Amino acid sequence: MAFVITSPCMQEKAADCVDVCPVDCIAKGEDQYYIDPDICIDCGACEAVCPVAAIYYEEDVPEVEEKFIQKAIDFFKNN
Amino acid sequence: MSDALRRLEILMGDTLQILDHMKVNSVHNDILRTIKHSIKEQNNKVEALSKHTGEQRIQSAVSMTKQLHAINTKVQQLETQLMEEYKQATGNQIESYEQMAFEEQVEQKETYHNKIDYLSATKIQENINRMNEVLYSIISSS
Ligand code: SF4
Ligand code: SF4
Repeated sequence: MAFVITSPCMQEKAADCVDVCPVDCIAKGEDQYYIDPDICIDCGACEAVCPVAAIYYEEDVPEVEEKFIQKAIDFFKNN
Repeated sequence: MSDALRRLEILMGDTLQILDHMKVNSVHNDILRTIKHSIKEQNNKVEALSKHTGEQRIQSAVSMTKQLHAINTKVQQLETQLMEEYKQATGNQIESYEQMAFEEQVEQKETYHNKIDYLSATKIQENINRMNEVLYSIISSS
């Protein structure tokens, strides 16, 4: 399990989450930031600081945002 | 290199990244160093495994799973110790501590580090289990 960044990030991208991540697992993509699910330790720090509430624990991702789980996996597979 | 072996290398690299960010108390430095060294050793074996075929490939993969199990036993020991330190730092009130706002948690610097190190050890175990799953898939398909 890991935390996942969803669509509200696409408009914001302020990177507050990057500053607080204790394992440096948030990377900038073309249209949004992404959390590496193999490195994320589930501390929840990023979720607490995101100004647009774009970050969810994987199990709590709303149905309409679920595609962002796979999008993050694909991002790290290809980068 | 096959997708499975590439996945194995990625998991090992990611696990090393987590290990590199851990700031454990000095009493745990030796075990942390040993875990890191052992993961690096396994990582170096992936390239060789990619060149093996048939029975040799199975033997190499089986040997890696054994070594990964041994590493995971050490990680479990470390996790237990880190959990104990985290518990003590919160005065046996982990739940109350985690219900505090993020900023308040960070203010208690030592406790916050204890939390991060404990969660890191948990994730490392998860990743080692995933590495073993990849190796089992290689063994069963060889
Ligand atoms: S803090 Fe939120 S909006 Fe900003 S980059 Fe991170 S996920 Fe995107
Ligand atoms: S939950 Fe913690 S480890 Fe995972 S991305 Fe957020 S800050 Fe980083």
